[in-house]
Amino acid sequence: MTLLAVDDLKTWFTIEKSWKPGAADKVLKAVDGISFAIEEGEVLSVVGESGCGKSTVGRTLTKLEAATGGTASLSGKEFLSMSNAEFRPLRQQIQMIFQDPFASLNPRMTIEQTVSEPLKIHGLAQSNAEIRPLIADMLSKVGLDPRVMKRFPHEFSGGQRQRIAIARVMILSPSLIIADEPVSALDVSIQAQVLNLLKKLQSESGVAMLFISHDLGVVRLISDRVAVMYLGRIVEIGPKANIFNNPSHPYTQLLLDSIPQIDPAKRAPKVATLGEPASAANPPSGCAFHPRCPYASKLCSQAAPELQVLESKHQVACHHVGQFERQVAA
Amino acid sequence: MDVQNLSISVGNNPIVRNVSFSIEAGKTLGIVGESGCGKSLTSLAIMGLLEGTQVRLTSGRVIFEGTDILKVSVSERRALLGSRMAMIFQEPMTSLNPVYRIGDQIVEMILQHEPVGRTAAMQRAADLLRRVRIPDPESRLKSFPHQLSGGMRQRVMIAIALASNPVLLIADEPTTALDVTVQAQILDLLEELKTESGMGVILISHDLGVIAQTCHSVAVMYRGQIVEACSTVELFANPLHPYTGGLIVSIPDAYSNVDELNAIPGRVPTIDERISGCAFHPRCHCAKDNCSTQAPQTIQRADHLYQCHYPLEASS
Repeated sequence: MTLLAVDDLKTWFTIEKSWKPGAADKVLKAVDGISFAIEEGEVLSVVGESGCGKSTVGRTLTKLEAATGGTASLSGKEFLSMSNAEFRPLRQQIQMIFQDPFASLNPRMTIEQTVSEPLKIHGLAQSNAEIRPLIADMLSKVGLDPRVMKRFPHEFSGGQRQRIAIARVMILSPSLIIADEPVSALDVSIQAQVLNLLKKLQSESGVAMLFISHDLGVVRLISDRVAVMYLGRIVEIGPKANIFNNPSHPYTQLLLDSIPQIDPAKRAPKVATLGEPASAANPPSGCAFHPRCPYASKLCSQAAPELQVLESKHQVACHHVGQFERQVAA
Repeated sequence: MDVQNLSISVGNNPIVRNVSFSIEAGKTLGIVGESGCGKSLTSLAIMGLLEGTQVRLTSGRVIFEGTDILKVSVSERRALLGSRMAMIFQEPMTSLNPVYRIGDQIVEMILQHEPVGRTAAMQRAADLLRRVRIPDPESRLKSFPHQLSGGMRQRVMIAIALASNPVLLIADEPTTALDVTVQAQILDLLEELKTESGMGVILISHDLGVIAQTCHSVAVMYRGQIVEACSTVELFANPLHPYTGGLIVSIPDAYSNVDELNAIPGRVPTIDERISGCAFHPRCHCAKDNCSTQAPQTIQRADHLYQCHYPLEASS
């Protein structure tokens, strides 16, 4: 069943007010008309480089940013148009994990206070006597000793703090978790532990997840489906196997080929240097990727390509899809 | 350059212990490790950037072109730094001065080291920008740092580092702040420049992929010590230290399907924790009784150095 349905979502920011009456303000289209759905219990990853709008998608869906247009519904209930008061009960269903566990935990609250706060806010439990066993149980589920409850965040390492942030989210039994780069601030060995934990908790509880990341290796481990974003739009979306085995948008291919590889046999042949990501404040005409694309034609600079279906669930937004060969050794 | 038994302390806590390595012209040495392992401190110590801080060098020698640069006077070191050896840092936004134009910042560096006039220096600055593949260098000289993207800023930093043709370049996490497509470009650029000029490069990174792709040899650091050092090919084909092996398998790979990562348990120890014996033993799956009491010596097998009582192939 579809849990989250997002249709033509737009989040624009005004970066310069016009002083002339009637003239248009300068806007940055961080998210510019994207549509996707997440099934119950499914993990959809959004990947892309900095400035592509992937974090804004997550922040808009938790109403931390106001949407400019489009709709989003959770179990059939549209929520972007709701007032904050109307949305509050739904917040229990949509929870967020942030990148930096040093900034997302209140330094003056003990772990017990931090993890119990959501329960109190949503009226799920009131007395500490009632709450304490729940917290103890949750802490041991995320791999922490329940006795740490009385301690403060500064006593914990980055990986442990991220576990606390996960406990704070999981204790509400949400139906959707939006995780914005939850492991990118962690060391490799700790990142692997937290990823394993997230994956285990996700499959045990059946919570759906929107996983925002720039790291394709992490994405391959955790997701069922993957959406690739470039300058505010989805350029390719599909099941994990299709995206990694048959990347069909030139940008997806570039991303995959750019990952430094340990195994020389897996290294892609040198890709030609093709400039840097354009800024969303000043996007190129037509297909936003065309100035960096080795296959771009005149059409690409004139018209923006729409997502077209390649195979069952695999969609690509490229004028020349299927007309070029990917140059890969493997 | 030859680094011998370098040790660094903060207060009474030793942070870097007996680190030795050497680097040859035209080669790239990678130093890899997690946060707090001492990899950046080691490079700052070599560059003499720790003076006036709480951090003390307790022992060791750094031999560069025949002289111990830790012993020379400040002015003699000045002459070496920047002209014979140069450094680039992780965050190009904070390493460039935001209120000066790019051209002025490069020219400042050239005038420090060469007896040339301003016009000639400006001309050289444009050539340097061209060398680091910045399009339209003459007009870019007039840009301020905030007008450039992260990748462009890092190219400018590299240009400044190259201004006096150093024979040694220390790059401390040069691509960590960059997007993966831009990272690939910067790594290619460093490789090309190294081949052109024949300089030696020390590349410090936490990313084993970056190391594997760019370095000839690697030193793996854990808690201030080099726990394994050998050629890159050998390290990834045949890691001997359990920490190295654990790091390699804990990287999620975009090119293969994995359901669960083999994570190293536990956490990176903080600097004020005292660990007896081998520093890695609390997290090690090969550890036996004597690992907690007796620190392993550095053992050499062919060109492969490691510090472990029970190296991987012997224990598996």
